[in-house]
Amino acid sequence: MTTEVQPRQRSTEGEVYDLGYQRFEGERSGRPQAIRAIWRDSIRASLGLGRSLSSKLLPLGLIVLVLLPAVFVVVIAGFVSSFGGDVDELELDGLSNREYYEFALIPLILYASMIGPEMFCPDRRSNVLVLYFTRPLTPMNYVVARWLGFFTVSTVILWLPQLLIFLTRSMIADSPFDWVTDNLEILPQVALSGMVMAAMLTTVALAVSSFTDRRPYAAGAALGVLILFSIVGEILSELVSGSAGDYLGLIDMLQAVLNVNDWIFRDVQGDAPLANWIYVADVAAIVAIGWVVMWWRYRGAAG
Amino acid sequence: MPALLEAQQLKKHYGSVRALDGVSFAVESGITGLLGANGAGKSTALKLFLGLIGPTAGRALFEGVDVSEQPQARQRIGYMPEHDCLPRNMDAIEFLSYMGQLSGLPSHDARVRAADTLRHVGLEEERYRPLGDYSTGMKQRVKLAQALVHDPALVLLDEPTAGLDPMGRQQMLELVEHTGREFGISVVLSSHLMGDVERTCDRVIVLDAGAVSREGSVAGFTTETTLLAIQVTEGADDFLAELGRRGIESRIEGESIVVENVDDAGFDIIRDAIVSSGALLYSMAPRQHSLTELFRDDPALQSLSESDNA
Repeated sequence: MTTEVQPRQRSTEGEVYDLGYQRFEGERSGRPQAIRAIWRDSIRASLGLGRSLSSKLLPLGLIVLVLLPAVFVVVIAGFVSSFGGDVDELELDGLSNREYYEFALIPLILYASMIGPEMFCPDRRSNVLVLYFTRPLTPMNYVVARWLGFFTVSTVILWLPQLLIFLTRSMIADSPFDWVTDNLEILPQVALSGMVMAAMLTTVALAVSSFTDRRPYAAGAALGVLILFSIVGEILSELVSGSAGDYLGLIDMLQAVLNVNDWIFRDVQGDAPLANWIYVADVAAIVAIGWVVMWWRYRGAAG
Repeated sequence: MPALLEAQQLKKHYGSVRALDGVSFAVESGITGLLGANGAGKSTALKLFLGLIGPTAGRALFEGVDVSEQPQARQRIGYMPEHDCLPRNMDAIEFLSYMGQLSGLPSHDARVRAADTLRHVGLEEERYRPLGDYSTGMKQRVKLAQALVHDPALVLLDEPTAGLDPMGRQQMLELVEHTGREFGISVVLSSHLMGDVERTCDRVIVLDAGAVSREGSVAGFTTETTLLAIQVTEGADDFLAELGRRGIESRIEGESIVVENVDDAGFDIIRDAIVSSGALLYSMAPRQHSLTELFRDDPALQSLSESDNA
């Protein structure tokens, strides 16, 4: 007697198993992971990512504004070069790294004022802070992570066009390698100056916006503080004669950071009436005051 | 082994207001109710255990650790606040994943657990909708989900049924029971509603004006009764009359006929009365007092009864 072996039947339909509640057995990274998560969320918020189309338009528009001259330079240089023209006649040296930061300061002020409030205001408005602080975070961890996120984006926005111009200049040079090695010192200057500008504007915008949960009010107030202090500083330095006027002019935050920019690029011949270290100390003091304000505003936010 | 939560002579004063006035109690695993009227000190106690505020005196410990000194311990605690706290423009999956990461979970694990947790609270189909479009009941579920997404050992729920209609309240209490009994996550349920505590909790701690007024197992409170509740499907009037003829005092409460102080002989009389009246017996069981009934005569806790009946 033989037994007929039946081919094994394979189900053509999948089966769904409800595994029920699964415990998490993996590693918990605690506070460092929490800070990284807020930092990433801040970068996304700074660029309008994960937000509505209208929320993306403003940050992207302002970023384009910062990049535009650099892109223009690249396109023209490429155009002239491809038709055998003399790129040197474009006088790209006239658009120095220092001057590019002077130009970029204006759109970056707008960017910091208008997008900076995205860091703090929505969290306050939706009362979500209590959920942050019932996790392994302190209020200062939160502030630091938010600040770092916005600072990262602001710095990259400032660096990007500078790098673009640097690369363009190197590529159109007769000997790109020699040009890069001859001008390598520019890179740390670009990096440092961009970070100083971004740090000051980030701190002022975030410190001002920590007073309200309304983004439009925060944007107006941040812009107002930056412009008002600039105007008042200018007027005081004109009205008060002598070194007292020069010192009163230090409340002009924008001029102070431009003076630091001059110093970093070693354009020491500028019109700055005070010693360079005083402007560095001024910017450092502005950043420190901003941090004290944020600490004060968030010190009791957990309870 | 230290208790899950322990309050040691815990005081919190706000100026002249004594929110908590030297309370001591311990919470073990399971579902524990923190019952009290508004202003009794429940939310203050939760904030002290989470380390969000510091005590005036005493200690608030989670597994023997003062969370205000070691915030890392919070990655094993979940908290569902009473008030609205959800960002309007995020969708549920993104929000929960973010909350998981804030509790220390790696990004990928947080994403997976966010989806799982939304399934457990019944919001799987709604996970990509902005939270601003959610109903009150759905928002409460998301608030519960964010407290569970990192798989805590303990979850503190502050008035989880606040603002919910009867159906939503029922569903939320079922989720709380699931969390405590099936997920194996210990729960502290803070509520001013006795019914919520009675239905879901193993133990109850009653706070009144910043002090512990009662403490014990819910079963211990609710079984202290000498009432026998009898339900019949037909012949109730004849049965009542027969009980009267046999010298048994009884009354109707809701759908039950209630007899007090029944001893062994009384059970025999009731059995005979059912047979001779021709009533169809549906159930006969000792009647459990509700917490509301037990606390009805306590002036300090009458506001709870009123809230429950509201």
